[in-house]
Amino acid sequence: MLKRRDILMLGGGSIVALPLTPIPYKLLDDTAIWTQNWPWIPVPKAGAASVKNSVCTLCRAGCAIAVRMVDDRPIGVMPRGEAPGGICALAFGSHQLPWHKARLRTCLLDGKPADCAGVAAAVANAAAGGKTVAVLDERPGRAMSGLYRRFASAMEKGIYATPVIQETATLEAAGQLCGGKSKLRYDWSKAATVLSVGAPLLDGWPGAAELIARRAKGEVKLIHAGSNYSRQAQLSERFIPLAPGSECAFALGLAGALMAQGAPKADGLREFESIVSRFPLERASAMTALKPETFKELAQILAGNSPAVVVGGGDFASGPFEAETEELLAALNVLLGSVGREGGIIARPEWPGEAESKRWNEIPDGSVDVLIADRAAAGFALPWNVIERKLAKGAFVAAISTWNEGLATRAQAVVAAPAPMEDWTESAQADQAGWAVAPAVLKRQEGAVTPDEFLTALAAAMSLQLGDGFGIEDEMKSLAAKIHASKKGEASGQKVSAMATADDLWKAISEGAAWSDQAAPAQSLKPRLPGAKPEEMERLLAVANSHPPKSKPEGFPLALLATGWVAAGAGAKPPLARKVEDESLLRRPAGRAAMNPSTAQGLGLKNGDAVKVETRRGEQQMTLTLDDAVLPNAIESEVVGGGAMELFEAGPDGTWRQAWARVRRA
Amino acid sequence: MRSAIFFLTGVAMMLLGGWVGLPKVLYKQQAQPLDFSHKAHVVKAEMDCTGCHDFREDGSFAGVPKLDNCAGCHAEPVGTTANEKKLVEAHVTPEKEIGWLVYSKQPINTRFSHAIHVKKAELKCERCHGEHGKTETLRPYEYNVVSGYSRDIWGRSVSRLRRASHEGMKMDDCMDCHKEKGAVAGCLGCHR
Repeated sequence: MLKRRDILMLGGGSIVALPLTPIPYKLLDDTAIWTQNWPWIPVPKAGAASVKNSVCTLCRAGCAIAVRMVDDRPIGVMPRGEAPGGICALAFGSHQLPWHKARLRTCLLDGKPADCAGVAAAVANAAAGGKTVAVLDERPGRAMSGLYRRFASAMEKGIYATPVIQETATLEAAGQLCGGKSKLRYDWSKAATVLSVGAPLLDGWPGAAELIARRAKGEVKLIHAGSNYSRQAQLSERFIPLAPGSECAFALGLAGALMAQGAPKADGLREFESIVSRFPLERASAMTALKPETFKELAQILAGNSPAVVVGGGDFASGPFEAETEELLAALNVLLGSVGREGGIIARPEWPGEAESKRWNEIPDGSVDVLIADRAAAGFALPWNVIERKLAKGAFVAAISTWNEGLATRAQAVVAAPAPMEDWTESAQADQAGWAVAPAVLKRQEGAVTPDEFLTALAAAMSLQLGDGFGIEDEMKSLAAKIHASKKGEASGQKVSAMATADDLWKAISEGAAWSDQAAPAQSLKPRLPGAKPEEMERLLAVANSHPPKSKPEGFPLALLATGWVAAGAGAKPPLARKVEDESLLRRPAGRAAMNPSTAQGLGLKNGDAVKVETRRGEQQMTLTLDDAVLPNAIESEVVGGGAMELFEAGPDGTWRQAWARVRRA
Repeated sequence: MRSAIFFLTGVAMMLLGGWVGLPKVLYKQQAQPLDFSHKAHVVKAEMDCTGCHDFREDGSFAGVPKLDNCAGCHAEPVGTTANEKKLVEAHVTPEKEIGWLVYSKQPINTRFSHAIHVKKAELKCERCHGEHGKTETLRPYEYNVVSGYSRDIWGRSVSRLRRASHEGMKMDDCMDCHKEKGAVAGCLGCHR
């Protein structure tokens, strides 16, 4: 007779033996797999796998990539051998961008869906009567830039404009010191010391791969001076923290320290000395919050480890420096004897893609009646008020954009441009002669209009004559033909001079080969230090003395600094990049503000608090992160996504290095 | 004594159920659409693996042979077997692909390059597929009713102890070999 106790013993024996069987482990494993394979999870269609060579055009670095395809769908992106530094998280997820939720599905007119002809008619109507029409191109040097320039010059009052290109800002200032005609570049291959002032050289600049490789071999010493402990600061051997907005004072102080070590041979030294003498080291020290010894020590390092090069340009989020700061940074290179020397700043060849343009900040305020802005991701932020300042009252704005963000949300007309990989896109390196093309690998979304198609429609609506061959493919072939005719440079290792026809070069470029011309032309550079004219001297001193801004408004005690990576201007971030960065906190996610714990303690705030950051332009809610690396009495605000950028006010020169802010718990 | 007997019976039943019963319940069998003798092709016809499981011109692996591969030799029967007759009549003539059930089919979140492993790392086919290339008939395809995966992914041995080097295609198996060879692939090297 079976008793209750027998059943319990039988059950007990079974339970004891259960861990000795594969049942729990196998079922756990299988169930885990089962949960990853729910029937409602979409499964990509299988197909023929292939790989297409291309380049990433999300920023100007133009890294060589290979796009993994299944049938006609891009499913992944890998770096190619020509990108020795690898590729960034943005590039890794770039194949996801055509499906991004911020993608514009159709052209818009006053926020309502419209077709290309409708948008063109509205822009033509706004431009009628000889109005001033500006075409703003954030990525100059492309074949598309050539089309914008042609379009602007076909109009009576057309302006082809570009913003300050940060990678070339110091080079252009150095070019001015050399007489204004020289095209220059940095010689990363031989530099022994690089002092980056605010510039994120290793974190998104073209040429980063070469510097990273040389740094790993101990061939180059990197020093970073800036107001935030950026990725560049972390990767440098030494970080010199500067009080926010004091870069100009830092440059002048360092010039003084260099000159005190021994008079370098440079034209204009006497006049420049008189500027430096009016800005003693103690003053530079007080403004930058650095000890005078730091300037002296830095001057010794730079002079003792030549060739040394000083690089400015600003960064992706907090924008360019004032022209005067760039001029003084260029002057440091002259003092170091680095202009015209291998390993410093050298002459570079011109190339057919370059064209004269008007700098956006040189356009008179309130003079633009119609703006056509190409929002091809430039990598750096461009706040609305930098653009707004130049617009006439009631101006009409048309944005050519893939994403419904930034300028597209301000514009009356929006042209829905194809996403990356859906159409030809280009990478033109601003700081050297380089050009690469990414072919279309994905069928273009219905409703997307390419910039050249829009310009053609607009020209028809405005009765403009654009000439023959006004199309991106024709323009790119024409550019390839010009390069081939010059016989200069090479395309992914193959010399252009060895290519029989221009078609051979175009074929190579259209299949992912990057063209570049590294040859330094035989050109003697004779730089002259600034300050020859009294007004020039006063201008430089005025800027050095005015930073940090004295006009701190009552009740706004904190220096607000914009921080962000190349994605600050990229429009949309691929989900893969967002997941990797946001979850790892390798980069601060959007909507985050960071503050030194001592500053937070004084304000009664703690880590993770929801706070409102307020400037005179408005307020934004953010989540507070406490970070020892943030300077006291400063707050760093991540501007990815554009929201926090609204808090900054650009000056007349188009810079927005810092704003005064106050913070309170939300 | 009586209690001990029931206790030990419980232990024995669970062990038996776990080690013998579980695989029978967990795996279901499915017959291949057509039988195939690897031995006949490799030994008699003196073909090698890549004769049918070929690499494309771009270096990528073509995978399980398509009907075209078979039709190249078997447009008409060249032997007298029932299987060949079925191949020609049911597939080659009506141009109907054979729906082979792939023993080593990898999960959707995985990618595997035969080209890298066979050409670059010079692994033999047998390293992962064992003596499959010498079999006279195709064994039934077995799949896990919970995960849906082929049994070959876990391996024949439910304990995964004392299994042959080619048994099992779980991540651990890949990792063991990678560790042994010092090959670094990273997460995205194998996972989509």
